[in-house]
Amino acid sequence: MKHVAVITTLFIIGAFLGFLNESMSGASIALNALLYSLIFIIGALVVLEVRSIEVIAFSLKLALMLAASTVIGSALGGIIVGALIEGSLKPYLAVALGMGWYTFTGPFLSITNNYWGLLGFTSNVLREAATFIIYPLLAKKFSIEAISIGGATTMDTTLPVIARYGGEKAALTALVHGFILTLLIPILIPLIMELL
Amino acid sequence: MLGVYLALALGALTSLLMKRVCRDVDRLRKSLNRALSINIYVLVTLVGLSAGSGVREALGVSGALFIHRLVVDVALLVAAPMTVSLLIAVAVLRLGGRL
Repeated sequence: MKHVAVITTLFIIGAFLGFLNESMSGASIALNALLYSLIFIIGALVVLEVRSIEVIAFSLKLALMLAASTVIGSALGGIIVGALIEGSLKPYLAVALGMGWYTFTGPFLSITNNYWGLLGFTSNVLREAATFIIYPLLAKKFSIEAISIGGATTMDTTLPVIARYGGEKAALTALVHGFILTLLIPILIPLIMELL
Repeated sequence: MLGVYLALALGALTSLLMKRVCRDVDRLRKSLNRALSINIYVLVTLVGLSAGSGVREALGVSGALFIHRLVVDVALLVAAPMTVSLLIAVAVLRLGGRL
């Protein structure tokens, strides 16, 4: 609980400081650099912990089922929101299927409509931010299932939190889960925009 | 994307080398976990900075009505997919007997 409180406080402080400053280009550069160092540490920790091929095979199987759950869940969530709000179902479904990958969803949807682009970016940034806070709370009881809330971010930005609170087995599952979703998102969103 | 895999592979490789050189693996694990915690704190602060900056930009571009619609849409689009995904994952993995 102490870590969750610290994380939430730091996020709020960061958001407040970000709100006061107009340009945060420095933050995104630092974010990238930090991300790579985190992935480096995760790679080292996974190797230290994973001792058998069985663990890897088990994580792969879990990750596939989890990725299917995340895609179906996100799509259903988008359909529910589209049904609740008057308007077209298509953009809500596309935004929901962004599954945390805001750097792709936002710019891609901006090509069609500026508002959808803004929605795609903001919703998916917040999905990532919410994962930082919600995953540690759920990790004790649902360390594997809760990976699905992070969507595609589980292979990079939220992976450290998953590794820290869910353990190395969860980290390995999260990495594969995020990888599968990262491959699927650039196929699913254009498909939704074209077909519906 | 390539950078992510490269960093991951480098981390794994370094760890393999350290396992051979370093005898006290527990100490190494503790140090890595500590570095991980510190990095998470900095990362969360930076994500907050970016989010706050983004909200400020959105407020500058549009009026209050637009912001109201955006807040409702975003709140629903964050909550619904996350909740339904989690429920399906629990149903499939736990009730399906995979965990």
